[in-house]
Amino acid sequence: MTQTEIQDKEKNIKIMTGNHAAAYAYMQSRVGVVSAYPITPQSPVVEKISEYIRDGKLKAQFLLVESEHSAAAACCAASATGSRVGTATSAHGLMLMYEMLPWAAGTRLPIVINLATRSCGAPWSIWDDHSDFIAARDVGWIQFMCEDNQEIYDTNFQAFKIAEDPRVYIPTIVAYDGYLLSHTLMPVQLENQEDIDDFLPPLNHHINLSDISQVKGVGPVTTPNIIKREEGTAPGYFEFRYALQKALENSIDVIKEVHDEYAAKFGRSYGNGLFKTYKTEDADTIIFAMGSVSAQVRTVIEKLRDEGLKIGLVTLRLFRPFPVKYLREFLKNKKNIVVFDRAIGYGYEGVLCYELKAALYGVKDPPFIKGFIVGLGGRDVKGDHIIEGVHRAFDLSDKGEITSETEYYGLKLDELDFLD
Amino acid sequence: MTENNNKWDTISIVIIGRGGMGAVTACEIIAEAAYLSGNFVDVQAYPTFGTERRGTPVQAFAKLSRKDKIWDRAAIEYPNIIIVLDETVLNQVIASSIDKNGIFIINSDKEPQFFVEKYNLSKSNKIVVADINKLALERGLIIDGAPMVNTPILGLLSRSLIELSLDNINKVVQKRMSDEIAKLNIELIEEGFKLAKTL
Repeated sequence: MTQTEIQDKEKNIKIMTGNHAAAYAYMQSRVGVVSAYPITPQSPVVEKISEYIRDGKLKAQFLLVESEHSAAAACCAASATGSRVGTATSAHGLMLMYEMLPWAAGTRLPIVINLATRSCGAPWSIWDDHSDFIAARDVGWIQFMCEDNQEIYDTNFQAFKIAEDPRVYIPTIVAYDGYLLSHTLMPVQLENQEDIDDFLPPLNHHINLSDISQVKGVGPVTTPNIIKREEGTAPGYFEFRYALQKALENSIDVIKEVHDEYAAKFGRSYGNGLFKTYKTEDADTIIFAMGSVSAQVRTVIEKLRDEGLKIGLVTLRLFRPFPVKYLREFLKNKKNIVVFDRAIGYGYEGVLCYELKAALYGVKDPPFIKGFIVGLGGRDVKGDHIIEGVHRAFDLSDKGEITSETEYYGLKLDELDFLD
Repeated sequence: MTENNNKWDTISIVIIGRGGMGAVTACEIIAEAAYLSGNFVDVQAYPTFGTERRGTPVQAFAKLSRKDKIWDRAAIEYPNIIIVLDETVLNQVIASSIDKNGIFIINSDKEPQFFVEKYNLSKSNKIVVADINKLALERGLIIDGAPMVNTPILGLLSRSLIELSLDNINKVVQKRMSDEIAKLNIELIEEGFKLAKTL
């Protein structure tokens, strides 16, 4: 589609919450089965989906279950029948699904989870940070983080298409900040159903339990070694898991390809599909962040540039697989990188920070990298926190002080009057 | 009447009331009407994040941007406009948080001067007051025995923020409500517009 045609297209813009943008995308993706259990701040996603089903707008099975673990198990089973399957959750909901997550990945089931991010207790908190998102890092799923409601809508179609690609077959999480996006209304450009159908054709699943004659086996017991019999050769666990890792590594090309196809068809793009850049053309310093934190950084980039800093922003969109090659290429010649994490890799530092450090291991004259933790448990992330962090990082960089000591903005220990 | 508005590229609005009064709905209508007007390139509306209970003080928020996409995800600290559905929820901290050229829209049977004195408001602040409770009770816009003021008060807002025309507010109300209810709401929005006492 050419640019003119996109502009001429009749606009169908609705003001909607992030949760409803996700639900609308599920409807237009024609999901066949949804199984979910309510949890704040995700609940409106599945409430809306059940409305769509009740009103006949979506022909799908909604499986009511007694917990998130059962929801995830039901999603796995439903996906294995050849259905397009989606669910949504937050925080401890995802934690309770956790047991099923590596199972879904290992069985290569193209399930999509929308994750309205929320902090993990204790103490009890229903507010936003990225603790739940990063906790799903090592189970073999693809993970996206969105920055506004339009991106939630757009990323869902891409997520299904990527997950269901025969070169991939990997379940995918589409995450967005709880409340800040999940409960905030913003304008979202909705696309015609025919165009969505054209972009996202019906799923042609690699497993289809509904046709039992074609099924060779799902989730077999494996052994430490390869088993060879007359009937054939069975891979060991190691070979299965190698295949998953290989598919994740290779999925980056598919993720870019699907993103580009969507951008060409609908006229909206998100950087290279892996990360987005803002004011980076002449920048020697980069702020690295994702989701709501990145959005807040955008509000102060001009102010920082007015101070004479050549500074830009890289917003991570694809957290897993971590786009090492592309980040390394883009960042290798930068002087300073300031990372803001909305979660702690407990016992170490911010996860984005240490992952970026690892990604740049071995480059010649590597950038100075300093990370900060902000916004845990829904604490406001203010533009001033970002500005102070950048100043602090420059100060350390000038002194050549390399440190992985955790530092924070927005932490208010001085207001705890029971402390000395 | 609109001399203040054009100073703000992004207009931040806080509605204060009590759970059940429809503060969130009012913010949603404001955002939709603003976007519909074509004068704003981006809008947001959101509730107080967390739990709300009927009868307890609540706030809802809207951000309207004339020029740029809204990336700001931080809480509104200094609102340009404060809409008061229930004057018993207004307090000094909230009143003092308003932008120096900010606008108060208040549902009350009192005069604007009363609020200037009670909260020591600056001369640069604008105050728009009307007794929307009385209006809603008289005209039967009542739910569970309580007057519904959340939509009628938008008539007052339209008076101070002219780009948010009555026409656009009414279109959004029409879309969101059944014909009969929408008709009554629209009548009260227009009557509220006329009743406004300003300072």
